[in-house]
Amino acid sequence: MKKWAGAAIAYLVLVMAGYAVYDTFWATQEPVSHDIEMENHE
Amino acid sequence: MVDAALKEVHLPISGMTCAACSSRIEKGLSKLDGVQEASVNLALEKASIKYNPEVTSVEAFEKKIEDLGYSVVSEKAEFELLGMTCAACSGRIEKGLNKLPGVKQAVVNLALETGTVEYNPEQISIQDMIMKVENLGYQAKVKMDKDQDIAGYREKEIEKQKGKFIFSLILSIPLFWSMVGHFEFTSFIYVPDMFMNPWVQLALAAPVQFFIGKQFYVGAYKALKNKSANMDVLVALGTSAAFFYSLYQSILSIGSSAHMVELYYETSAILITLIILGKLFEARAKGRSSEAIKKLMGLQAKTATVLREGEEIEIPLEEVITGEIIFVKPGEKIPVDGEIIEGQSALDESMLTGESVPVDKTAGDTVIGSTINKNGFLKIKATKVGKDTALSQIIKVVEEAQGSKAPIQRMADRISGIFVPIVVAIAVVTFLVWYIWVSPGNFADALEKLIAVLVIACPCALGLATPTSIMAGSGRAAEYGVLFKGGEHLELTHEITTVVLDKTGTVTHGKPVLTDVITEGSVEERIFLQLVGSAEKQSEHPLAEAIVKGIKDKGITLFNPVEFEAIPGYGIKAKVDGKELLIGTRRLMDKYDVNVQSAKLEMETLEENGKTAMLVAVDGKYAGIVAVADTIKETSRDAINRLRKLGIEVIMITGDNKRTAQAIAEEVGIDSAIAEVLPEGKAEEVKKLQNQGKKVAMVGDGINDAPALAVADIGMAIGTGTDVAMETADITLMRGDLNSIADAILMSKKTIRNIKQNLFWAFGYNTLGIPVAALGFLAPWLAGAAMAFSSVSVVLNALRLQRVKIK
Repeated sequence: MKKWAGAAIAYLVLVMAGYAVYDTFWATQEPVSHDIEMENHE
Repeated sequence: MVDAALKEVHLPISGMTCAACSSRIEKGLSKLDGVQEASVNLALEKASIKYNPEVTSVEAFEKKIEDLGYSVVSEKAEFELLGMTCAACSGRIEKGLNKLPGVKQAVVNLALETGTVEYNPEQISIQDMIMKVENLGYQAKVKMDKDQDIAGYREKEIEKQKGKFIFSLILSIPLFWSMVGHFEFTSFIYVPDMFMNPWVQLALAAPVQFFIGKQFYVGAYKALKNKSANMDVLVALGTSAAFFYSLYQSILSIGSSAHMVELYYETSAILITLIILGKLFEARAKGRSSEAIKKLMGLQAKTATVLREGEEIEIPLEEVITGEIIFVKPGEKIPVDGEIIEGQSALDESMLTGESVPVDKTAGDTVIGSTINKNGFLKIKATKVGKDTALSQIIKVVEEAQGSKAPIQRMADRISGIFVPIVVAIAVVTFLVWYIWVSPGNFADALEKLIAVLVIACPCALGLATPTSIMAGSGRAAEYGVLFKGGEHLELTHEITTVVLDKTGTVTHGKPVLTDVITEGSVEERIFLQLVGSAEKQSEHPLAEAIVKGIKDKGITLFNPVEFEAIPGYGIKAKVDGKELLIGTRRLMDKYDVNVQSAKLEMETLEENGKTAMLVAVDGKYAGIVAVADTIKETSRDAINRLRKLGIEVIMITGDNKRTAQAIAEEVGIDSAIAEVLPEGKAEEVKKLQNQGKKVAMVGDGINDAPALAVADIGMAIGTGTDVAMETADITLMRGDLNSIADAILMSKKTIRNIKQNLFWAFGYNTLGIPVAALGFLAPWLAGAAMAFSSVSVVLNALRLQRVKIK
């Protein structure tokens, strides 16, 4: 079970790190709008 | 009962997810040539097949099961093999083992002197394999691989599912977090930008969808390939719809504002996580429902001390062979069934008979494996080993009952078989109604309803409702000493209106004892008894044995009769100590012109008290009476009272005369007694009661009552759980106590009530859940949680039966 948890955490960290790299270097500087997303779901 | 030409085999199966799977395997197997009946139990994960071995084989069943997308679980045993000298030896053993029915594959390693056999434990035992190796001229010692047995396989499977659950839970938490931000009432909760990004969501959802969710795709593929549908189809459809729609939206969003897309990645991931959690709970609960069997198996001794080549050696129980001499020290368990050849001891047989008082046994007596040797050293000859022992037979009966189907289940099976296509149709209609009329053009909204309907409608609870209750109910009943032979008997027993009790051995102990001695005039009692006892000594009649034992117990020494003649139906004629003796009925006295007028009143009084009186004449003159009576079991009166309180009519049936029968019936509180019935007439009497519209349970000792037991709606054999009794009856009452009848009826009532609760819940849940989901009141993830909860709740409700008290 520990193996499975370890693998999942490692993968999560990898995804987060990937996003951080993307966000730092390539992301367009747009303001985030949670409201629009929220409306969509409502 | 299985036809002589037919064989029955039980195969453990893995890979089933719901009732649709089990009914698919059942259908597939039933279609095979030579298969008379196939039944698959989802809860036990086992197929029971009755087949004609001349037409088909177990290999064909295994192939069919594998073709259908499931697999047959086999056990592995490792042996240390001694006596091999060359490759020819190992080849011979390998060939010999591979030829045995039930052996899937045997591999012998000459260098390591080991053999590994993959086999079906339902078909062949370890002893059979050892015997085979020994017959070939070698020696085999078992090395059981604990990880490879079925229990180990299930444990491993649970561990794997647990790991998968943790994995998908960790990846679903960020997705769930992002979902929290969607609702107005939780919008105050901070959600990191990262988790709102569609590509991050995709990266988190994809492994859950395809790695963890692979099992649903594989299951759905196998089902569809065989032109059927199961729960996997619904889960795969529902989660794929959510996932691929989100993926499509993500691709569309490239180049536009990333946060404006409608995504349902969290729906698919959370659904899969919850379904896996539900399955995990279900597997654990299912494991617990076979606790009764584990308890029974735990009664067995692990090792036995045997005499081999003049030495006492301790060997694993599996290696004990019939005919072997076993030593049992005080406090130890008797390892197998056998016969005492030396020593005497008190044996605690309570685990099998419920009788708490230890039974004294000495040379010549039989002993049952797993009972405890209290105080003496015993030397025993093994008569039954392995799957032939009484305990193994009991385990087999319980397992078969747990694995059998109650008629009530057939309906649930039929429904769940057609359920999935209907649900898919309802889901599509729901989607169209929402997309065209309710919320025109809103694809996402309609899709959400479709997913909710697909997910809420899984018929898992329906498939589990009956088998889990039957498993728990029959397991618990076994703990009370009541062995149901099948689910149908467990279901039928609660409908019983009339219980017919055989007198001898059922209401009474079945062992007559000497009760009264009446001597005529000046005849001295001691001399009278010495003559009677000596005359009866040669007789093998049970009543004579009772008289001899009663007289010996008084400390009177007996002679050997000079002449002895048994006159069937009359009594005996003997010459003892120079005196002519006649012992028997009135007819015997009439035959020899003995005047017994003075004994008439005493005879009648004795008979009215339920006793069998025998007249004695010495040298042609009436000398006295000896009377014997069968003693009533201490528990009979209370037990009959319990049955009457349950509203059940109790009738006693006996071959005794009316006066004796009435006396015993009155003593135990039975209103009606059918007397002077020959053993073959008992079945007729039962039929007569059935013709009056009564549901009749016949209770007897299982040997001479066999026809009546077979005719009755439910036949109950009362005894110690030995082979004859268990073969003939539908229910075996291991404790020779009539209270077990009420226990059986109550256990059946409670189990049926539990099944009905489960079916009501499962049906109600699906019939209510579908419209609620179609109307849009249920978010897909809630539908997933509800589905997981429904299966778990059904199993937990069934498990309540394991703690049920019926006293």
